[in-house]
Amino acid sequence: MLVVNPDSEVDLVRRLRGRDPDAFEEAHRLFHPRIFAFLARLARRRDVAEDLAEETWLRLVAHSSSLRPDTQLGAWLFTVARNLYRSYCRSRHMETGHADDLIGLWPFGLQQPSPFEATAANETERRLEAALASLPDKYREVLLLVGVEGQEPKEAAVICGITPESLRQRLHRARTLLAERLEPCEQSAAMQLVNEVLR
Amino acid sequence: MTPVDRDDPILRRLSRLPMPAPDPDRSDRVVARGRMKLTRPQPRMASRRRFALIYSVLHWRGWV
Repeated sequence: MLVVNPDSEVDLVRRLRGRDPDAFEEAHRLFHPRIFAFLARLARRRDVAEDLAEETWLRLVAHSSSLRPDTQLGAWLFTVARNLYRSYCRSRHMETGHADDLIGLWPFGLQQPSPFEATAANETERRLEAALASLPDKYREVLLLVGVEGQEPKEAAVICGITPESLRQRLHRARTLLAERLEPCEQSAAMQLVNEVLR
Repeated sequence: MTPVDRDDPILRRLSRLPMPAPDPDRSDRVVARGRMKLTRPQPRMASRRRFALIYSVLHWRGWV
């Protein structure tokens, strides 16, 4: 997770309030990969995530002069992105539960591990992504914000528009659900590995 | 409020998930569009607000 220095965030907000294009570019550079990743996992579709991320940035342009000086830019952007996704779902009456769409969503690599490590890691990540994608939206978003993004429950609660205590309960439920959905996949993967070794 | 247990195995695995990369061309276009909109001079008052103001004055005078 990318941590933004609070002082530089305050300065960035001050410059955005003055409609400084360089500040917009800097904010985009700092937050766009995180906003996109959040939306891609929330929407489970790359094209939708690109559209919603673009709309998020255009909202920032439209509201830059009216930002409060103490605005937490990261939280503001995540809140807008989440609300846009909720509006999108309402407008499309989106059905939940198409985890298969995840395949091919992340065409990139980080470092270059050995082929065995890469295969094992990809398989583990794929199972985790699929289990995450199969969760209902309200559980997925808290896991994305707290687990993937590393945000504190207080910040995530503001973004989700719920109290910190509700968020904590939702996080606990989400974590349990994810563990339950991961367990059968991992047991069958372990059995497969044992069978291959014994063969 | 107690902090989240970051050593929880599920949360640890989630934190290690790689980030999907956005389309760089599209990102560049969004930045260019945002920059252009920010450098454009702002209208003194949005047309909808101007209309609402004029309409309220006319209504107050009893002309509409």
